[in-house]
Formats: sequence, structure tokens, C-alpha cells
Amino acid sequence: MTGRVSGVCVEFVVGSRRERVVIPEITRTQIVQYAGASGDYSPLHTDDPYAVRAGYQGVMAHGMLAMAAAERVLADWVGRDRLVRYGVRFVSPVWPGDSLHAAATVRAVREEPDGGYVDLDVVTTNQDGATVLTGNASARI
Amino acid sequence: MGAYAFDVEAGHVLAFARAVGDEQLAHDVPIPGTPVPVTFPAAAVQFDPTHMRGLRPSGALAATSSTAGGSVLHAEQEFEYFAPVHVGDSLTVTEYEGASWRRQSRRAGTLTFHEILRDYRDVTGELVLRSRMVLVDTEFPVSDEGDRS
Repeated sequence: MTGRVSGVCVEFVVGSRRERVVIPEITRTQIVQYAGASGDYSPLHTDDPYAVRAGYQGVMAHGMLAMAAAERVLADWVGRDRLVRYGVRFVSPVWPGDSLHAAATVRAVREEPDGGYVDLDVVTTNQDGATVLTGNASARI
Repeated sequence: MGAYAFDVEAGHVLAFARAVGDEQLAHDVPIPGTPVPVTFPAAAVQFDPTHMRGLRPSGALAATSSTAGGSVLHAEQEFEYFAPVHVGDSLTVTEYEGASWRRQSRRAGTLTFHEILRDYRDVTGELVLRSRMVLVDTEFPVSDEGDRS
């Protein structure tokens, strides 16, 4: 099925894929920056001694930061005003120093009474190839 | 918790875009009508009048201390849009609890899940977005190996 996205014709074919590095290196500064912008000041993200006492190697990045980074792949491909659903599971923690690579793959293209939709699978991996986030999204086309 | 107003401010969207590395939105203050990043409405908590008063978080983010011995972690997140959200929109947010359930994990012991929902309505009262957050209270800290849950 072909959809018109932001004035450009885009063909969505089951199995087609977009991917890229969305964060080359997570830094503690970026975690602080995300805490400030989002309002999520959980000590697991902002207080290193607290995170160590809780049994972790130190602060971890917000899962929502990884989710937002992966969303950019969807936004670039289908357009934000067309996304109707985006859901993820946070599979493994993301640590300072990690590099995040996100990929979106077309799982289905379907016709509904109110128009066409594309369903996409989303996965984000770190520099070791470990999955940190899996999910899916749907968009109008 | 009560409902609160969430005005989608351009500077807030810009700060969010820069924090998540959004190259397109990070250049300039976005003009009214610009679609916001899909996960941006999670930042609505900034507008909860009780949030971080006395350095204490509100709503779902208040549940940061485990009651089971491990940690409270964000397990799942979903955004379902019924209409796009744009810079300049005025929304009203209502947060409420959903389902709760338990299961066992080899990595983190007994897991207790809590579902927290947020409805975002426009000035006419129409539902434009529902977000669903699942928090998990773990018995032990979570290791890197394998599946988090």
C-alpha cells in the first residue's frame, strides 16, 4: 500500500525496515537533561549512591528516554501526526556509555473502514546487540 | 489525584526535544501547531501542582520506593492517540489506577505490577490521548542478563 506522508508518497511493504543509531552515547548529563525536561527525577536515574545502594552499578537511563529516541525513527518515516499508537516493553536497563540503535519494521498494512493503517514492530539494541526495548506502533497512511 | 491543566508550551517541547536528541525539533522554538513527539505528554507531570513540591514527586512517579525489597521500575508504556497533540494545545490530564497483578521471575523474584492510566482531554472534553504505564515492584535488583521481567 502506498501512503502520502508529509506530501511525499511512501510505500509501506511488509518487511521493509528503517534503522539507525538514535543515541551514540548515553551520558549522565543527558539523563539529567531528560529528568529536567520530563519531570521524572526518580533517584534510580538521578542519584548515583542511591542507585548503588539499590543494587545497581549506578544510575540507569530512563526507559522513556530510550522510548523517545526510538520514536524518532517512526516520526521520520511515517510522521508524528499519523501515529495513533506506540507501545513498548522495557526489556533491560540502559546505562551511561551505552549506544542505542533503533529499528522499525513493517509487520502489516491493513485497510480499515476509516482508512489505511501500517503496523510496525520496534526494537532497540545496545552496543553489544542486547535488546533493551521492544514494542510496536500503528499509523494512518 | 485530581485533574490538572497541561498547556503544551513551545519551550517545554524544545527542552524535551533536545533531551532526547531530536535533531529536527532541537534547532528552534517550535511554532504553534507543530506535532509534539509521541512520548512528550509523559512530561505533563511538570504541570501537576503537587509535583516536586518539597522535592517529592507526585502521581505515578511517587511510587519510587519498593515495598518488596528491590526497586520500582518502569516495565511498559503505551500511548494511544485519538487525535494529534500540537504545540499550543490546552489539555486536561486525569491520572488513575488500572489493573494490578503478580508473577514470579528468575531474575528479580516476585514481581508486582501496577497499571497507571492517564487521560488527556482537549478544551471540548474530547479524549485525545490515553497513556498506559506499567510499573513493576521487584523483590531483588534486576540484572542485565535476559529479559527484565
